[in-house]
Amino acid sequence: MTAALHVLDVGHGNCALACGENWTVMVDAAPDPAVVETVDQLTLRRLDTLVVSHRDRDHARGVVPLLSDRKLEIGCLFVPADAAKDPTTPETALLLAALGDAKRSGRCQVSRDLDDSLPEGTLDGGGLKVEVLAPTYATAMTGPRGRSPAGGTITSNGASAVLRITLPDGLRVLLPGDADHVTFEDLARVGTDLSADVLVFPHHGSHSVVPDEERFARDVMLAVRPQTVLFSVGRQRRGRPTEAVLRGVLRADANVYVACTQLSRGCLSSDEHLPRPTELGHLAPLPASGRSSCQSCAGSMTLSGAGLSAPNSVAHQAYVTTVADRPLCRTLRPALEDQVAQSS
Amino acid sequence: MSVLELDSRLELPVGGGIRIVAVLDDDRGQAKAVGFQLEDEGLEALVVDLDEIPNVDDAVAWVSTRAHAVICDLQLSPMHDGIAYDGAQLVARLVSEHRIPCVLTTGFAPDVGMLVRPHRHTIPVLLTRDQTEQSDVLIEGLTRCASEIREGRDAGRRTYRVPLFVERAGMTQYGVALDARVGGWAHKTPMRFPARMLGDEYTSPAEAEALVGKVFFAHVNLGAKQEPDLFFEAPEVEFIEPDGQELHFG
Repeated sequence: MTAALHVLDVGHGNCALACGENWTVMVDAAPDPAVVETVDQLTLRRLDTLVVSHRDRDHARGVVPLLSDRKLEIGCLFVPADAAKDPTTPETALLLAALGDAKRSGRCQVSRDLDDSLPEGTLDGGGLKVEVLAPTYATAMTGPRGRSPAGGTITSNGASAVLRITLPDGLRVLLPGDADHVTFEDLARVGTDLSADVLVFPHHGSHSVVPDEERFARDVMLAVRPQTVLFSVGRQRRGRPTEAVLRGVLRADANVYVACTQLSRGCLSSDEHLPRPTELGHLAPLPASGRSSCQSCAGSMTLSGAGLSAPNSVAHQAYVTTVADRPLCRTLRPALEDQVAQSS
Repeated sequence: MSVLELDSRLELPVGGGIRIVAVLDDDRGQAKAVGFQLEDEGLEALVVDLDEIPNVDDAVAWVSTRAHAVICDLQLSPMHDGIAYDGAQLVARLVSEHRIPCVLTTGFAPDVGMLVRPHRHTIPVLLTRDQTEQSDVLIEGLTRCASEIREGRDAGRRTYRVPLFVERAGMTQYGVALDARVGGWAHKTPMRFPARMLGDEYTSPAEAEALVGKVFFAHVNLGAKQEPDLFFEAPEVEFIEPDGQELHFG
């Protein structure tokens, strides 16, 4: 198997799957069948590491079928404690039941110890380098609802794990979960290098708690300096990525390649004009939540080599041109915005 | 009369395409309306007189020898007191035993879960009454059912082993019902089903009530878009008290 990192179209949520030489690392598992279907399609019998960046349902709930699959072994599941989550809900009971089932049958080990003090190389394997950049040790010791060492209150999102995975060919992908401004201020406090070639933008490109979304996005871009920015979004959630976030991304780097897993409503508001299944030929041959409903844009994406290797970027751009009324990944680029402003 | 080949997508037990479609509904006016729609699509509608087939064995035999496909309403009895079965029972047998493409229709009443869930794994297509007003949706439904009969379940109906958390138990006109949250499913709506699906001992309200707050494992189609589309198979009736028994669920 060629080493690659797949960013799956799971609708609203996240799931990234890095595959090295006989070594797999999954980061987040949204409750979408595309997650288990991908494990089936790639005939994976083991996930060496499964990281839940934080306990929000769109990142954590999909681990339940993975834990319950008797044919699948999980080397270690890293799942954080979170005092902000109600322990009496059915969701918690289901997670605990799945964990108990997997542990009893020896299919999974569980750890809550995931922070930037994890010794270098602990999660590496199969040519993949896996670095835990956040939470910082100090934030992990405090946890959600506590006070961040950088100031402000830590939320579930703020305690999110931030991972950088480097493929054997050198491609670096930053997976920041739902990290917010508190997370990034904490990382700046300890001087963490966040540089990466590909950024899966945190929190699906929407940061309502951030005072200035555009500035936040620009600051994240300047810290990471990626050539490619991906948004894992569900079309059913309005306005993700937000125009402010996209503007911040594109003003930081007018040439950055931008792709969303699903077609944002900001780009095409009406479902009546969604494409037909035959128009989705550009999609990578991976399960994608939006494929059958024709809501995928780039769909599930494969990263390797110089960046996005599937879908083909030319085919993806042609699709965007055909389908979107107002493709925000283009119209918000500064040069185009200036042209529009001048012509009006 | 013409034969609808449907791009050769339907390989039917009789002939190479759908020609005769049986329509069963306790509301004969509704059955005729569906029949007219099918005739507009070039098919021959056979509006079935339910009085001729009072039990499900007779109905299976009668329909399977006269029709290439079936549109059947869930409720077959309210206007015909002598009918001892519902549409879910009939459709499940026609699909699984005779490989006849069927569409089950319903008003999505609250008790759909109680009547349909035990058979939902062998009922590929369930449409609302509103949807039956669109001929293309009916035809697409028959096509989808034929595809599952021929090629197996699509992604939306593939099952995965997951835990289910029993939230509630209660009595309905169709027996004791359980509501369970499905682990790993994208939606929070609990799935309603007859408690007897977990074993005959749970037909007692007290026994069913004792399951509340417990977890069991089963194979569920996680790709279901809405609760009526959910089903489960192979339940493992070893009820688990979730770890952390000091927690108060419910």
